[in-house]
Amino acid sequence: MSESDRGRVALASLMDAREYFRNPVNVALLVTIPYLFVYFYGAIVEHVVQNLPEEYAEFISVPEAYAMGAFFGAAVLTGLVGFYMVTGARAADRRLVVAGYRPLQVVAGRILTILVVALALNGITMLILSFFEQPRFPLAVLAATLVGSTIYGFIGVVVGSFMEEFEGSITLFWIITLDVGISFQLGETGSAAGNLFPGYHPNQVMVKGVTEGTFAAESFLLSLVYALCALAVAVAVFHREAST
Amino acid sequence: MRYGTALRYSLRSYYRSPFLLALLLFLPIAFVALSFAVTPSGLMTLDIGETVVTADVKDIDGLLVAPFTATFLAGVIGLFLMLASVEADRRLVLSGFRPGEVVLARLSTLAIASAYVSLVSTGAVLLHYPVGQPLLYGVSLLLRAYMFGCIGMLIGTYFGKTGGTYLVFLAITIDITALDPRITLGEVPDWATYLPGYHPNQVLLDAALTGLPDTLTHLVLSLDYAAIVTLGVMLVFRRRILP
Amino acid sequence: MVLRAEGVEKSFGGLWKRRVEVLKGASIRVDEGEFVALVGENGAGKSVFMKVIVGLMKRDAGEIEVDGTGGYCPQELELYSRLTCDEHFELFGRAYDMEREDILRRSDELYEDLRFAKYSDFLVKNLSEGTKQKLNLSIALMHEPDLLLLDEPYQGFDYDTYMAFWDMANDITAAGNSVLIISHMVGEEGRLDRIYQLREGKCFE
Repeated sequence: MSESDRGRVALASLMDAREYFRNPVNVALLVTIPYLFVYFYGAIVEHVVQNLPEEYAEFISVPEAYAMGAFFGAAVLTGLVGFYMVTGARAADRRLVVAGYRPLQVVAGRILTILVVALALNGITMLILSFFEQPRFPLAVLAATLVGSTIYGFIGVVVGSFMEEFEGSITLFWIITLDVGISFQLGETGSAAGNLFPGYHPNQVMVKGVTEGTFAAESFLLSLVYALCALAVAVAVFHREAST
Repeated sequence: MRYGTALRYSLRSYYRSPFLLALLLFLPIAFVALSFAVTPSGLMTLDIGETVVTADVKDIDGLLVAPFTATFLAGVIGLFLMLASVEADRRLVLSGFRPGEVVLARLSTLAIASAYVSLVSTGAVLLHYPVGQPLLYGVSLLLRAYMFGCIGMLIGTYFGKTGGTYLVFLAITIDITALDPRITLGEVPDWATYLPGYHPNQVLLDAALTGLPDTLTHLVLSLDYAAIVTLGVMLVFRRRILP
Repeated sequence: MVLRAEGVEKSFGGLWKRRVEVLKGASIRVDEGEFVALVGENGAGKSVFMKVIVGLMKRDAGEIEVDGTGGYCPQELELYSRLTCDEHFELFGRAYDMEREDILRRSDELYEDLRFAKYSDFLVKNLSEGTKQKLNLSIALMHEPDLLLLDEPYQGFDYDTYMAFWDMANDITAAGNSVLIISHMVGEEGRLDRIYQLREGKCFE
């Protein structure tokens, strides 16, 4: 990539990020959504655990529940960012290509924006999580939620390119909710179906980081592979959107 | 009657999309089935109003996933009802429709859509759990879904698509989780009793788990709340489409 | 007289936003059978003035008098994306209190005049921008209003349709109805009875 190419990508990304952060609602929600998800997930399980036989408490611990809330909140937000990025900027992206950008430059700008939003969001989420429950290995949890929510940013892109906003937003929520439900519950019981969900491997990294204070390197690697696959599909989809 | 024409076309926009209809059918069934399948079993003692019941956490989860799904779907439908058609609705009024006719058609669409998702969700629950009073359970779902559909419309008035979708989801998450009996353990905090879902939730718990004597009161209060949000939508929507 | 607007004032902004005075006593008059254009620079307030005349925006001051029925074609496409062209005609025809036969007759005429009959059963979301604009315009024309208010109604038209539109507008005024159009007409001045220029919030003939 030449210097001029890099400049174009950086500019496209900067403008995308500006568009996102200039909306005060987006900025406000960047803080409130993670807070509420972390709080409510943690609170539910905390109460449930207190009132259940011990075997249930072993199934999901309070620290895990808070971390699960963090993951859910980050995944929902990043997924929606990716989703509305495609549906909202389709025409403008094509225009940029007509004006002289190469489709890949526009795509790279968009992908970079998703990463920037995911990074900001996960930083905030970790901070919020630390108010409620300090994970034993915070970096492992951050790595897990970051890679998990980035995967959802890319999935948002794919859903957004194939569906209209109404159906697409419902579908995206459906995938995320399903994933969180299955990955965090079926996954524990070792179901093969659970392993296929985007959140499964990041969840493994997170659980180990929260409960044992270790870094599940193998699961993290698998999460990265998943993220790269999702990225490849997102780039292909974005490229098609920007160039047709 | 012109209201009939407006309603017919309002509904047509929805049932024309088979994918959407399938989504609205499949989603509640899948969610409820999964909830019952994956939630670990374990007995829990719950204090619901004046009654203490012992119930399986798995069942409670399934019973609460249904209103979550129905409410979320209705909320998004309400949001997009406002976002997608308000400009054209204003033109329709400018062309001669009475604002009341258009508002009523949109609210009727929302009510029908809420009834559809509530019916499917109730059916999905009945496949897994013998709800004591299924009709009452369904009605509680319908009232909650309709109210959040109205709230979706109100959110759609002031926020765009991205912010609106976040907020609908957020509002519903707060409503459902803050009233979750596994959290409240019979002591719903004062602030949570003002949530739109509070009274329908009481009806739901009564219908599914106990059969308390004050169900009727909660049902009436749910209707009152639904009437208030309907009025709110009428005022806001009317203002938006009035020339 | 079909339309008389006198000393119309309109401003935006206020407490939080910078106050912008768009109309500062704008006046306009359209008589029966007249074809009048309103021109001006971008941002001069032409669309705002038309929205105030139509009643879509409240005015701060001034008087507006319209004698007879009106038809308005907005610059933006205010249509239902999941309804077809035929359904738009039926829905808006009901709004205008038209009989079913009249709705069918007028939609057939407009399909033919603006050349988009083959898209009659297409959903709006699947139409090209030009065809959407044809439908947008047709909705304003279908009930044969006494006064037609058009805000740059021919965007996206191909050349033949563009010319057909001007012929149609001339037919409308020849039949005794009036047209007020916001336009950047290039070489169509000859078809107009009068031109108003909106400059610094006021109209100059």
